[in-house]
Amino acid sequence: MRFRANRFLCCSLVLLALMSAVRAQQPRAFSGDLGEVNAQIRQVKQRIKAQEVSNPTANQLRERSQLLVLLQQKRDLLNGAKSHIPAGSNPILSQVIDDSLKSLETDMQEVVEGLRKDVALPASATPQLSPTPETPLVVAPLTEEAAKAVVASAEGPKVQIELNDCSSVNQNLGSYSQYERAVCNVVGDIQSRKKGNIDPTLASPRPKATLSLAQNFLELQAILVGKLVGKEESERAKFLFEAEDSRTDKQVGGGPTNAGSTSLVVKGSAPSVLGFAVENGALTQSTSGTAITFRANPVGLFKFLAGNGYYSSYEEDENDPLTRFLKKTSFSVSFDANRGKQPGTFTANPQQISSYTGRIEFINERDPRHRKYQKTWEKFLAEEGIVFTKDIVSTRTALIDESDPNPRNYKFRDPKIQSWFDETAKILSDAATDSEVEPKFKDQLSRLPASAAVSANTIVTLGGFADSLGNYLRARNRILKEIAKGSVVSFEYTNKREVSAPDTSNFRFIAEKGIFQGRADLTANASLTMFNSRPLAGTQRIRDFEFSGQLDVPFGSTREVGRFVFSVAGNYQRLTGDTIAFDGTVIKGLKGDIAAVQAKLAIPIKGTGFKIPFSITFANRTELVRERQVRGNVGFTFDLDTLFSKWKPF
Amino acid sequence: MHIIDEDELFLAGDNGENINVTVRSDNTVHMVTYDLDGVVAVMPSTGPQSSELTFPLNQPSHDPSKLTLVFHFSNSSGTGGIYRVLVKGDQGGDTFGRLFKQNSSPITAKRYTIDVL
Repeated sequence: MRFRANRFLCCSLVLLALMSAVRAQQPRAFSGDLGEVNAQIRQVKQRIKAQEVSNPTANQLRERSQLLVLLQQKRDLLNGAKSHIPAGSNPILSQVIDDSLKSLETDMQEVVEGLRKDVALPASATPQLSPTPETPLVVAPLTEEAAKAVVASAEGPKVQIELNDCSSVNQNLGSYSQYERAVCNVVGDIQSRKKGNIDPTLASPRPKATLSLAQNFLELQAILVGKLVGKEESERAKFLFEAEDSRTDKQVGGGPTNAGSTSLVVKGSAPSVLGFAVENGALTQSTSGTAITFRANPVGLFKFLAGNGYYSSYEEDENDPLTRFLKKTSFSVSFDANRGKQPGTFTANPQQISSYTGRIEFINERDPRHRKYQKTWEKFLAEEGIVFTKDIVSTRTALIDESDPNPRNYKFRDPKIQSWFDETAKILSDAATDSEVEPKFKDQLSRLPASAAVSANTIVTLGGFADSLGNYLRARNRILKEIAKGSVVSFEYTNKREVSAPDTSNFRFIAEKGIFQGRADLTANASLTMFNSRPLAGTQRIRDFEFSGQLDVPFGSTREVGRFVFSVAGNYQRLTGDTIAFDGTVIKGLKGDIAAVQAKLAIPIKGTGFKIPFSITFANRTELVRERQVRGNVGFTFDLDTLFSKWKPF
Repeated sequence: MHIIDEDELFLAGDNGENINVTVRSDNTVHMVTYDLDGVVAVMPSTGPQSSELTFPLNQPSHDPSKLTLVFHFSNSSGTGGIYRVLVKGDQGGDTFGRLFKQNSSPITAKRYTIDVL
């Protein structure tokens, strides 16, 4: 590689001399910085040259990457010095700086060419890395992956990134990629500031609110990584385009005793505001039906109806023992649409109420705030949190020029990105309604300058940030996977109302645990059912006892079609006495065992919170008929929590 | 302390004035880190869902003072958490309150700039 060493040295000396003459006009001592950078450039070049002599085919990714950063730093310093020379006051100095800048651009092109060759070399050609320069670099040391990204970003067209509606993304955080979430976070923040609905007591509406380097810089850094460094097929930036797993532990529909239920086993958690389900069929009952179940948390529902929104004051909740208790409870009401004066039509008439339940959660280790994880989160914050905070700030410093004391004048160092930022900020400021923010911002994303058009320093800085963000998210995901393995233990009471037969009470213990690193969910139920009143003299109060288990395995891509959940379940029920038919007559000789197995597939409707469960159940008999049965059930469930949080989050 | 520009989180305070930042959270594990003029740390906790930081404005050392607050969210699915931030000075004037919600990202950061008068 040819570096024009003599020319480089002469220019530097002339520059140092001339800069001392204009130092009084400058806010910073550029000569000192320039001398330091030049010294580092010389060191790295010497190492590259020595390596080229000893092994001409050697891979020198790291050295060349460092050299590229240093050349960029020198270019920034020269541009800074040039900007402080009054127009026409010193044409010689201006000319020398211009010449030096041209020479630098040529050098940088040669370095990028060298990097291309390095990337093409096999891994076995990678030499031992030389020690880093004595003076630390301004940006974080580069990894080989970061250097590869420089080359990758300069090659070929970018992959077009498909973006979903932010309303869908915000409804289920786990179902969409980090890139989309960063985009929607910016959209949501600007919309909130425009509307002023973040919290009326804290912020008034700001109709001209727009992109802000004070408020949106972290998300912008992630977006720039996605657009300029990451490729979907690249392992390095893959994390930006992947979605997390979704929860499988919520019971939205009715329990197995309901006519129409698609669930042989009851799950441990319930919606924190409200969910509802419509299911049709039967499991081990003789009569099929249509069950419509509403399941709610009393605190969440009351606060929502009272206008307090989805979130509430922590202090208010924690200082009130009743609220603390009620937050662990939920209730549900199921309606049988075949009852009442208009069979087949859901009227929500009390006559159609087929059962109601009350539930209390004893243990919920799926809540990240559970004290079991306190130390883990503290360690995460003290280690990954601190490291990433440093990287966020150092990346910001490398990307944004904050030399002006007024933050309104902060600018991206890269002129192409600053130009895009200015244009986007104006468009978003002019957006008359908050609904215009999302399409306009997404449209502007397609106008971001291509990676080849922005400075190599920007790409390298973003590459380092991508590694840091990836490390942070991986550490966070490790904790979340541990939490997903946590146990949920609940107790549920169900009062089942019959038309003519005696009503029954069901007492059920529900235990749930994540397995396979939280990728699957195991649920066990044990229950006892009693007649509320003795049906006939001489009959037993205990109707049956029951044990059941279920394995839930989510699969499928949340990004493409949504997350399916496949379940297999088994149920054993012992009828302890004679059976009471739906019309109240006692049928003798049906005491015995009922065994059932079930396969179930819950199909999501992408981004809506709706799921359509299909199940097929094989049973050796039903409660009334001693014959094998095969039942198919279908329904839909809807967890309204996310919708409520969207409508009225605060 | 007084507010100069809400959107740019731009504030101003007197030299020597103590700036107090309180953060409260809901629906997330409370995790806040910060960078104050180059010093990075975990924000000192004052309770399970709150933390607080007080620092003096020092014109010779840092003018303006730059505070980056980084809010970490623990939710991976469902709805996210929120952080409420109040900034005030001990010499009176404005109290600057903002509420930052998770929207969709697992982490967000805000940069406060405090000009020293």
